[in-house]
Amino acid sequence: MSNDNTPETDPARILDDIEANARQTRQAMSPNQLLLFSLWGGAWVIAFIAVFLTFAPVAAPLLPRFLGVGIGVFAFLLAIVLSAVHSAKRGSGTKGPSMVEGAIYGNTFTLGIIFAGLLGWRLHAAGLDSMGLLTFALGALCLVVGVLVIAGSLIFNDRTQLIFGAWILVIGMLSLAVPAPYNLLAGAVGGLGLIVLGLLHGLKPALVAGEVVKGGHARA
Amino acid sequence: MHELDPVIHAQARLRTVTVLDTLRVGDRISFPKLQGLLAMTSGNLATHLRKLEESQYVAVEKILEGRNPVTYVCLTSTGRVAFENYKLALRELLDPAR
Repeated sequence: MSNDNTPETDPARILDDIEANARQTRQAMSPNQLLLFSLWGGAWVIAFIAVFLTFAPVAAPLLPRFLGVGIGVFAFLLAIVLSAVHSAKRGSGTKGPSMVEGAIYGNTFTLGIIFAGLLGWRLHAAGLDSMGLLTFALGALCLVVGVLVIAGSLIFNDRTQLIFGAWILVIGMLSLAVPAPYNLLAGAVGGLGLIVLGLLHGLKPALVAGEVVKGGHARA
Repeated sequence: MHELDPVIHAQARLRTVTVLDTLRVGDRISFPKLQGLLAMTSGNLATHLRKLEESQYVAVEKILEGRNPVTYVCLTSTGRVAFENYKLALRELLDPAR
């Protein structure tokens, strides 16, 4: 669409321009999916492999416990901070119901993760051993993230989020099928899946992007 | 058959309305953010917003954020209907049998 004020006369071209402009605007005002999925996928891969290496090989683990857990915590904190800054930047300059919905959704995520953490702490205090705690931690993380992301996919009518949430639930179930500490490798596989999802979103959007319900929520 | 709305049909206003239409009902966008998305000068954007406001297609609200006045803009329900009718008119031009 040109910048001058001379009206375009071809109806097909005007409609194409409207669609292209709307798509560009949505992209400019939404977080970069490739960036976020790469960031979080990378964090999952690094964190779960780092923690796994504090248990394996069983005879002589490659990393001391404090270092592996420290790397994992750092990877997640970095992902949280960078994605929060990026999302806030893209969403700045707008006001209204979407902001309120986004804030409630984001805070529910935080509360869910804190809730799962406190539950794990209580279970550990009640006698759950380290291996049981590993099983609980990854399972609970996947349950909270998977369910909330799928709920979000319906709120925002976003197919990418639906795939993301479903993938995390599958990874959560896979992690329960594998004994600790090998369940942590399921988390690393989950991270790789997120990176692939981000790449597909950028390179082959028709495969993973779009609406969940055709003609549904206008924001998708 | 709908006529093409002359208020929307001007290129700059069409781009402005297209951007505002991507916002959800009730959401508003700040003038600087809108200006950045449209890559227009503030004077040019203000002129086109005034024209759209006169037709009651957009609502312009000035509020204080801290000590700074910030202008927020949104498409009104009249503006959304007008934009839908504009797109309908274009589709009818392409396919008169619609």
